[in-house]
Amino acid sequence: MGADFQTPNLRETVQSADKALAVPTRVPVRVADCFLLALDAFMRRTGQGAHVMQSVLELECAPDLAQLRAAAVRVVKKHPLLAATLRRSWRTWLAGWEIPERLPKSLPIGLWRESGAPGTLGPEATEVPHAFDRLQAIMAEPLHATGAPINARLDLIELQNGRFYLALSWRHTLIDGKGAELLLVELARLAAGIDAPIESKESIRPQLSVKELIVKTKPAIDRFGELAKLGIPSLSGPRPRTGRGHYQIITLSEADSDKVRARVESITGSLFPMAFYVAVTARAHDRVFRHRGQSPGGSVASVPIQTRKRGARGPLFHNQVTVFFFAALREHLGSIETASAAMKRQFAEMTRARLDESFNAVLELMMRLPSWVFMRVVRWQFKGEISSFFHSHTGLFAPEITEFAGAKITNGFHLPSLSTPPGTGLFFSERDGRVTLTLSWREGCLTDEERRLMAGQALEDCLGEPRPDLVG
Amino acid sequence: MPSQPLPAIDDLDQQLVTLVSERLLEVQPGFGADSNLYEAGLDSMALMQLLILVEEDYGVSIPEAALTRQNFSTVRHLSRIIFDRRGA
Repeated sequence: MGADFQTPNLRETVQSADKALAVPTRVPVRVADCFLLALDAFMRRTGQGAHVMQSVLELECAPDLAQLRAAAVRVVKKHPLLAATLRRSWRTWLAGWEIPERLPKSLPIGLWRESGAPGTLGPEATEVPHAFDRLQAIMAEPLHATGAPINARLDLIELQNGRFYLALSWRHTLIDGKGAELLLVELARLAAGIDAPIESKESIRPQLSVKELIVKTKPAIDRFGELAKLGIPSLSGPRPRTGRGHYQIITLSEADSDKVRARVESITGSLFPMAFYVAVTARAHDRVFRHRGQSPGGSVASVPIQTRKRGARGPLFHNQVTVFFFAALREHLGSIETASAAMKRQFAEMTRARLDESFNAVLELMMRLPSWVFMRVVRWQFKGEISSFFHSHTGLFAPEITEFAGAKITNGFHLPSLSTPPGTGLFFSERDGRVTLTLSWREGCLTDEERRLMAGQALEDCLGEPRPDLVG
Repeated sequence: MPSQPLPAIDDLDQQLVTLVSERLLEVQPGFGADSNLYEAGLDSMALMQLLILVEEDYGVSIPEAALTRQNFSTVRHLSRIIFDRRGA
């Protein structure tokens, strides 16, 4: 278990650019970053753009722009990794983040106004036809506005209904979903004038010899062998596609969210919601496979598992995850109950077999591989595929904050951009008692009819009855 | 199964507090046997790890029926379950 390897008082702020503190110019990537580096390079090489994600807060009213701008300035100075660039060492071939001597002054901030919005932001805001189209376009564009490299940006969009989206766009090579939420929390604190160091403990791995690492990889290698026999079909197929990303956000009412929680309680027990949501995602994808007249033996879900200590305010950066690979066998997919039971059983088996540590040992052995070789190994193992779909259940979205720069937060969710393959994913989060489903797909991977089938199946499994009113 | 003898219940409380705070959760100062584990961040993964650690350290397997929110709400509740199971 990663928790065996805690080091005391590894300070996030050791990377601070405050003059009183040392400023390392090079910060090594973590083991779990390697897959994201390879995926990012794969996406760029195949014309899919960089692997940029968004985390969005919905605000009741306009935030205080002066506070927002002050936070955007301070956060770069306090966390200069936000301006770092990736480079491999010519001696070890290990990748690291190099922090430039001159930092950008601020995170870029874009101001936008959806057509028909009241116009609270004034003439500084640029009018756009649709907020979501703008968000999607931002993810496909370089994050920096002035030419200086930057790994995150902020965009504030006024909606037609007078509410606002505050979108934090971030590079997945440096930040993961939970890290993005913590970065939003940090920005909210800075906007409120709270500028405290983030003390955080990070799981680090023990130094093992190559021989020891190879021994440790056995459970993961065995697991990959089993999964490869099963086949890893995706809805996009193995061929990369360059189409734009699409998203559907479905935020359930409090009453419907209560129903979902009751379903989780009755099917997997409230202590193991992950198994339920993996099962929902597998069945939603299977619905589309069956609609296409395909009946693969099953599918494979790679599910990120947080390695941050729960309740911690950090670390903000690096992918602090390991991955569990769930097999959704056809014989288990007949009902949400059987599928959930199968996922729960696998969850226990993988935890017991220390699959998390074993998978990280595989990654550690592959860290020095150039990204294109890394991804070639992965796709060779899985016959051109990476995973049947992407999925995560990130739990409560930024529960630490209720307002941002004076504006009340009314919702929060992630917009995950996906590679093809697999081209589709289903994600879940919760905020203020309401469950949000995010359906994400690349153009060409899902027709509108298939999108409705997938969303419909997911909602039916979540709520226990067909809900065409929510499918959209 | 490599398990240690079960200590007195107060000592078990303390051992579990140490296990949780050192190996599973980022707890706040003052965390103790009656602190709420969910508020401290207990989630599916941490819970599964906890179940396995309890099994390995104390030789106690907690049955499905006992996997309730109430039983895992505090270290003190959990240590009672372990004690009851070990005595069963």
